[in-house]
Amino acid sequence: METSVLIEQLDRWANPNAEPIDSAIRLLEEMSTDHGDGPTEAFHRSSASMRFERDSAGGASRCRLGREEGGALRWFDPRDGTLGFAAASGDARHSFDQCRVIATRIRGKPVERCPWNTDAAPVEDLETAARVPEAEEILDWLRRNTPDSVDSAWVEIAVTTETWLNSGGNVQKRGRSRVWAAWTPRSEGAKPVFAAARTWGALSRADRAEAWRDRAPGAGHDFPWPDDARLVFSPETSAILAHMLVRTAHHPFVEPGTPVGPGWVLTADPTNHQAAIFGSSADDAGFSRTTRFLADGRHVIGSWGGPGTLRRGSFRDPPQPEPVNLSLEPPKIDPPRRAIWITSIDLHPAADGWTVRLQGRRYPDGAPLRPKWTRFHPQLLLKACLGGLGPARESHVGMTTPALVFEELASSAS
Amino acid sequence: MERREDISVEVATGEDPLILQTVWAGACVARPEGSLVFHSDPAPDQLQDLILGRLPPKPAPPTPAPLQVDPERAIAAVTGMVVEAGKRLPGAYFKAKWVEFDQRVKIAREQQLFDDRRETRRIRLEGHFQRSDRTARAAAERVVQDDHLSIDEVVSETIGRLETRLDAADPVTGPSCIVFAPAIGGVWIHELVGHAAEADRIPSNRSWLTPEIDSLPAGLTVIDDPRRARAAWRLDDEGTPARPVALVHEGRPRERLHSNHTASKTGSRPTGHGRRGSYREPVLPRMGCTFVANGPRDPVEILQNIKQGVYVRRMESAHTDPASGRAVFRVTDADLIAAGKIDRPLKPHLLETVASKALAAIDGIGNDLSFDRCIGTCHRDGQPLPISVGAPTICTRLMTVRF
Repeated sequence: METSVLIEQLDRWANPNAEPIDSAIRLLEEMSTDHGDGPTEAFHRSSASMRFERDSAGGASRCRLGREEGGALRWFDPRDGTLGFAAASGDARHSFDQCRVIATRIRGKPVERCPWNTDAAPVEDLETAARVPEAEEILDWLRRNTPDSVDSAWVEIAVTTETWLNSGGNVQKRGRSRVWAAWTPRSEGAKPVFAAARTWGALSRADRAEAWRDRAPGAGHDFPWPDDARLVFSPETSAILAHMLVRTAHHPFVEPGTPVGPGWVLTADPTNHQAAIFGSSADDAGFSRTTRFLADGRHVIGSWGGPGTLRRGSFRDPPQPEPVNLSLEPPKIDPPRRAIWITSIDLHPAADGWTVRLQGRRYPDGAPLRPKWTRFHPQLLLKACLGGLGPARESHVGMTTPALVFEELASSAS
Repeated sequence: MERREDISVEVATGEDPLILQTVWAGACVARPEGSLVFHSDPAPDQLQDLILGRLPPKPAPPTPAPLQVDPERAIAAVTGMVVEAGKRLPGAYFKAKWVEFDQRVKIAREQQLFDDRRETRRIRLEGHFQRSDRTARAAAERVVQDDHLSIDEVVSETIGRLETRLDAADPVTGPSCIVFAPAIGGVWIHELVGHAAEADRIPSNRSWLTPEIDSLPAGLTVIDDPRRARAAWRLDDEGTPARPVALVHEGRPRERLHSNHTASKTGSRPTGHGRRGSYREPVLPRMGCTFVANGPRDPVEILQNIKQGVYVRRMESAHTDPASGRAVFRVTDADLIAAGKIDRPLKPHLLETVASKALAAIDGIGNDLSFDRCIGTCHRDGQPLPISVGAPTICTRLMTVRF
């Protein structure tokens, strides 16, 4: 098991390799000859990752070590008014050569919602190199932070360098790191627990105890579900629910003005990329990112689409709008006298809203309740959001939220 | 080593084609202690570094290989589908998609070199239709085999269901009798039986399907044969020849789906089901084409015996917990069964079940086995894999409708 590959990758941040930029310039010149003077964009991503896995017996551990590189090309041919997208693996020179070959074969309209950046200001966004731990340190941390109820667990550290260049003269160089962890519980039906951070230091410092307390099995599921109690979603389930609500209620096609409850105070802050898990100074199509206020506790006031929100899942994917670094800051309210503390949520799209399976405990005595199927309509749910309880927590999906409190919701499902 | 081309072409009513084409390659070395080292696009002289468990220095790039996938055929097919559908149902919105990949793998194991090629093409048409205040959505899809495109079949099926589904009603929630249309029951069996038969679940007791289970109906036989899947493989990703496996034979659990690792760990014969989602992932036992063997019943007769139930025509997603057998299916096209006949269409809903109970309640397996009417990708541990399913008409008396 070696960590040298990551250290080598980190060195590339400090001394960014000129090769991707040189190759991209050559590609843009060739594309200009082939396809005229329409906008053209070249993107290259290189990543190295290292994952350590530990099985239930605790003794065995495995390592997954790898490097992946690839480039992508977007172009507009003014002669026939078409857009194109092609991607290929390999270092910059090789992947861009392949992209050009593909570009000669296809015409089409790859991502009609993705605008072109004409800003020529160069961007350099290189994170300070973070400490890369030795394998033994990671495995020791996994041993100490894996409860007996867990079947397997892993930690993955990845570093990525990106180069982006377009025919308008915009150049970007970026470097960043991520650390992920996951624990798969042994109990039937239990979902994995995930954690994410920018650095190993941030991940290893965080307290995981609360997430495990929420997931501890109860003595049984014998108690009926009270109908007239408020719903308090744990921070983990609040993040899942809120993320789905954001995709629906703050979709770029939704007009502002929809009423929301006093607890729905929401900001997307992709510029906070030093502290939060995601984000950067510019998006994956080169547009500057800005803080967006999405809801003020009375109305929907913004959406997450458009320039500044475009993201590529990998080099193979064209940039698509995606909400980033969402933060709910509801007013703090007193703990309700009677409530249901939701510990697990499964959301399924339905004909009108969502069909939902909830698991929870009676609050405050903690008695485990039978799982409950119900229906949620996103708009009604938004209006029912009253406030928050306890400290905010950052989830691996990039949503920071405390436990959210909702008014009693009439259930219509069985 | 893997080299793969993907192309996705999408055309919607009144819009230009949306085309994405990617080419990628990579290699992975599985080391004896269970660790993996992978690298995209390695040059041949770099493989030695991977074998020694380290990443190679910056390479001289390999020579680009010629492209195999032809985008022109895909563009013509999807454009033709949307135009034809628009002519036959003016005012409706249609979106057609062609998805194709061509994957070539080379596997070196124990001084031997193996190679295999997997390729698949599928087409899908989805329609949205509104008449006064009623709206409907319907979809159909087919595997493209040889030069047979099935465009007329897909267009006719989509339009037929669009017009019918304008009158969709709320389903009755709670326990219900469910009849799966031909091929669709394969999705159900994939989730309930197939995942529970993946052999890596045995050591930690993470499968409800134990050899002792004796509650399955005697007429139920479930087989997985990767050689007839829509993205068929002759050799798996460890170079082991794929063979058909009876997961359940006449109601009794039989073999499991094995990779070489699970086979050696359990003292079983390898089955050729070890697959990776890509060169970056470890091998897992995976399904190829899972299907239910024909039964003796006339499908019309199966329906005639049902007073009230649901006739399921399409399911678009599913989730299962193989340890408990609990599963949830999202039904997007179904009809009510009333007095032994197909009645009005039903709105999209969920079906919830526990495998052991629902399978024990099978009450009729038809003689009309069909494949791939609901084409999907199976995701396991974050690894996607194109799979096939098949089944004749199947009836179970015990699933729960959630709405």
